[in-house]
Amino acid sequence: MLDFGVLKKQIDQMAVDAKTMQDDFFARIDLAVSEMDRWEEPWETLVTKIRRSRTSWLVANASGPFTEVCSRPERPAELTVIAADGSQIFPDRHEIANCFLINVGYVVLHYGSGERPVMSSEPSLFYEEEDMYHEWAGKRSPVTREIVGVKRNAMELDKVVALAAEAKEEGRTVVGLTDGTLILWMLEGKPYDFRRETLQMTLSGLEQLRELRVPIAGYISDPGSADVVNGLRVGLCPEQPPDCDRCPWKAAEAQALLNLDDDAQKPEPIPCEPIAGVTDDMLYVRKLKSGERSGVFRSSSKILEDYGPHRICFFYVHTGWEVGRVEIPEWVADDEALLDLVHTTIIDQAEKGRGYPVVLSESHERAVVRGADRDIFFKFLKDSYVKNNVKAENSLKQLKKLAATV
Amino acid sequence: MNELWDDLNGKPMHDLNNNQIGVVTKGSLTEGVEMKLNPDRSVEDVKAGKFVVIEGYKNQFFSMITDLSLDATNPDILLYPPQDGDQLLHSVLNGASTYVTVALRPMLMLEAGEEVVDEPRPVKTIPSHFSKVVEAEEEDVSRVFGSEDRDDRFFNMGTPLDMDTPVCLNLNRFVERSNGIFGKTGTGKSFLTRLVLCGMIKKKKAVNLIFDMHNEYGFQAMKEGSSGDSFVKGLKQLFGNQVALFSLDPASSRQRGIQPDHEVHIAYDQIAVEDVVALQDELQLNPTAAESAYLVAAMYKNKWLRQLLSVDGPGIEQFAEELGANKSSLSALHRKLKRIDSFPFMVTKLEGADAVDTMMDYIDRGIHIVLEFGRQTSMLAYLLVANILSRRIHEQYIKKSEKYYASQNPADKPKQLVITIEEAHKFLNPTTAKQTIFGIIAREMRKYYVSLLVVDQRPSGIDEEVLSQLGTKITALLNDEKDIQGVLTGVSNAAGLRSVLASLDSKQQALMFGHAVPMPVVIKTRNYDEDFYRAMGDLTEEEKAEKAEAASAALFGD
Amino acid sequence: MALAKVDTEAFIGEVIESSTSQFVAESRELNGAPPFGAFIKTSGAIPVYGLVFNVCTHSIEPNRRATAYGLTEQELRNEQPQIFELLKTEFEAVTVGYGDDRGPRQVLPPQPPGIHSFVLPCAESEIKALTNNGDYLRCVLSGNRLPVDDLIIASVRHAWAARAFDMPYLVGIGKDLCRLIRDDYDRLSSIMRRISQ
Ligand SMILES: Nc1ncnc2c1ncn2[C@@H]1O[C@H](COP(=O)(O)OP(=O)(O)OP(=O)(O)O)[C@@H](O)[C@H]1O
Ligand SMILES: [Mg+2]
Repeated sequence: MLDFGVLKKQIDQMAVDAKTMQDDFFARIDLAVSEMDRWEEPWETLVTKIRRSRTSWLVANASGPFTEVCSRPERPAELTVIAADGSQIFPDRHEIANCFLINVGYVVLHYGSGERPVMSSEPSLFYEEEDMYHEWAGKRSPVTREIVGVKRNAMELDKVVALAAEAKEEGRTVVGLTDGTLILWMLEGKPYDFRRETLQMTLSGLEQLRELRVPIAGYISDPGSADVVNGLRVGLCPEQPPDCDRCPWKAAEAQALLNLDDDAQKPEPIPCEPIAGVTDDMLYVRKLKSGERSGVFRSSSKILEDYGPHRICFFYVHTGWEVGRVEIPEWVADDEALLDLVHTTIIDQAEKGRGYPVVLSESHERAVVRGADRDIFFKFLKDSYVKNNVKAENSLKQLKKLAATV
Repeated sequence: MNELWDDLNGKPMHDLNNNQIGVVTKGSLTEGVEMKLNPDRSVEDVKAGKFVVIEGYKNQFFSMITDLSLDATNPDILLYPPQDGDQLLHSVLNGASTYVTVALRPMLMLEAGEEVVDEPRPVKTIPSHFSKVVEAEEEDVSRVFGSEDRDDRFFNMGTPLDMDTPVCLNLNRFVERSNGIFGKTGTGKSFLTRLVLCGMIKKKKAVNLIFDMHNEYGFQAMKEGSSGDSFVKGLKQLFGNQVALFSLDPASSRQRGIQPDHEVHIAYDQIAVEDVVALQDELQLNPTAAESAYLVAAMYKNKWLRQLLSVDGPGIEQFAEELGANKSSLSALHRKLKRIDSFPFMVTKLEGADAVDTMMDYIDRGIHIVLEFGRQTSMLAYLLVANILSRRIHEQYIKKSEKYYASQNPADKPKQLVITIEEAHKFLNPTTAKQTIFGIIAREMRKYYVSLLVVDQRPSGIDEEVLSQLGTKITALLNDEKDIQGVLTGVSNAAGLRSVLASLDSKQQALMFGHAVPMPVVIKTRNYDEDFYRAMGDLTEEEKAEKAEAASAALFGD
Repeated sequence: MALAKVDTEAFIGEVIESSTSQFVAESRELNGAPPFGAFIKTSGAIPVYGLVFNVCTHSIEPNRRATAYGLTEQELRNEQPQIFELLKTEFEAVTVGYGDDRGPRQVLPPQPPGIHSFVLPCAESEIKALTNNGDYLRCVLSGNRLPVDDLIIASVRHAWAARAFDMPYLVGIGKDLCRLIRDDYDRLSSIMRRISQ
């Protein structure tokens, strides 16, 4: 039995707290916006300050004012948009055989010509020793979900490259899109050889696209990133240069926690704290109108140091439904024509897809492996094993499961 | 859409069974057979009286169409008939939901390959379900009715409806009995009669004695036509001296440019009481008047009529008293017979040969006699003369026959005599037929080698017994129900023929049935025209000239 | 794929569901199904003849529905080309006969058409052989969930067209139909009127 008398009071309190938090949040966003405006003029000061700073967070940097806003350029009447997306059946030790599957869905949409699109998928089954086990940093280990994911990303990019080359051959104007970030941040801290191998795959793809002069962009919907806001936080820091590791306010706070003395004087608040928690999209929802993009920022991700000419930059766009983040290699950012092409393509795609680039949702639809498909996959596998008289090796656990159903 | 129909209208749709007209769906021996008309046939092309063949399993049934009816499987169709112009629906319904039933009367049954023999087999069974009904083919007609090429007993009378093959009358069988030709006025009785007479003359099947009341057999006769009236040739013109013309009114004959071979006079003494009794109806005499006549004859023998007519006005009562006869009826008899006095052919005493003897002479030589009445067209004269002459010739024939029966010498065999009488009901009405010579001849069949060809427009006026004795009847259109019934007296299954008879064309169509045809048949009567004359051996003017030339060339051998 | 003996150029669909009396095929082209009432046949050793009685176009995936865009077909082809790939056209046929060495027979086949066999339009000669009388209409009249009258109208029109709109043919079929619908005069007149319109 619930004691609603008691519960009601708690619910009310919760609502009040939420409201307070919200109000506090709106105040923070307001502050972030005004901070941005404050740096409009002396942007070079901010940019220099950011370059010199050492922060614990990712900070965007720019080569212009943070307040820069670009309106939507016109889309070429004929345009080909390419995307690939993958999904997978992860290795399952409880299943009959040790293997995994990657299904790459891909879509080539030709606009303005009435041509039939390409919409298809391509499954690949991996089961060989070299696929199932890896030896990195001298340590042999079975394939992990993470490795499958990395492999999948590489295959997606490969597919985009192949399709782009083909389309370019046909003399088309091409844009490639992928779902999600182009920054392989999760490689940080991974064994060197794994890191190198993976990076190589990605960068060679990007390089080919650069040679084809096909812009590639990663679209991140509902981005939680705060790179730009973090830049403004650097601007708020009184230290010269700011260095989070030596933050006096943080040290004081830590000290205060150690002093269990109640009477002790409350430590001064950290100067960058008032706009913490605000994300870039919250900021840009105020700054951008539908169809507009922000200026281009450089990401400060550590891994990008290995990207060479393909260093990833980003901007925000207002699609009309949301503010999304678009990541592009530096050679796209530096080429005004390619940059405009990416900008207009993203907006157009989002409009067509009612908020999300249609080429991405369609390639996802091609790629996706649903539960039913997964079951059929394993049934085929088993039937084929039986037919070919291969000893099935269901795990004991699986056998137990089966027995329980009888 | 409507253009598409143009081709279709009136044309058969599937030319698969081109001469099939339907299939048998129902039937009984007594009621006849019913057939469903093929949908590709228009009901309007199928006529009552048409000669068709039912292809049974083993037998062919030669039949006549006797009736047609429209039927529908679903009463809705009749409640809401297809709209005018909805030809598609109309055609679809035709034959399936709406159909035509045709009543057939099988008249003759032949097994495959079987020939018609003189006495055809009556129809004893009916064709099986769905037997095909086909239009008769040319060879079917000749197979049933014979053909002139095959045998000289056959005489072409015309063609079946919508066909060109001749339907023949078997003259051998025809002359074996008395026969009748009927039809209401203007339908072609006289033409039919002429045809039949020509046949008998041409094929020498009998000697004819024709009482030609309207002067239309001997020499030319009038032919009504759409382009005015014209004349056709008479028997004398066609057969020359094979025919002798006798006349009761030579003045009239001469006026028409005809030189009669003989004049006929009748002496009072030649008139017997029977001859007067035969006039009962015409003179409206009651039975007692006839009795009175017998009384007079008993007293004065063959001078009875002269005696009776010599008595004048008031003397008649006394005359009656003398005889013991009823006064009033004797005076009525006297008054009515007095009309005979006015006939110019009546003579007190014959000068020259007796007409009957002359006639018998001709008959023995096989020469046919046409007796023209000239202007003596009163029924009384006609009846009187026909009776007297026939009676007397008949008497002679009885003698001849008896002689022949006794001697059994073929040379003694009398020539078959056919006596043709128009307005036959006057001689053969129920009251007089029992007593008159014609009634006797009709009933005694051909025992004495004499038979009748009765021509009449009112067959109902003829005694039923006589009618049923007629061997072959050829009848043109009759409308009166009583007349139709009369003609069909003695015919089994008359129902079908009744409707056929009533639906004949008003000219040149006739139904023939009876002894001389294997089955009843409707014909379009053979044209009595130039072609016919030639078939009878007559020559055109040029041919005559040619022939004369050839004859003279032969004679003078140039 | 080995497509022996089949004119792969001419096929218009592929069988995806099959039973003795009916089959379903997926159209080769979107909206490229044979017309309602058309005569079709399947490829294979025993060709099966059918009559198209339903055509439908719908989303390939059951949980995705088409939505309205307010654009013309050409605009859609230019700017939303993917939607045409997400739709497929299927057509259903009622079986009216099968073929053996003597040609088409108006009898149900010994085996239903094979799944994935190709579907081709019938040649004029085959249509004629199948429709030389009204017997094929029995399959239509006895089939369930068929739009019977409209199917009769459409199929007879095809049969009629194969005979260059020969009127006597139509009359003959009309007679057969009349018998098959047991003299339902009202229905007959409505059907015949609509065929000839
Ligand atoms: N076989 C025929 N050949 C040519 N014309 C014919 C024939 N039969 C009938 N007709 C035509 O029909 C008309 C009437 O024929 P016909 O004088 O024989 O009739 P009917 O029945 O004798 O008439 P009625 O009762 O007045 O004597 C003829 O004038 C002639 O035009
Ligand atoms: Mg006459």
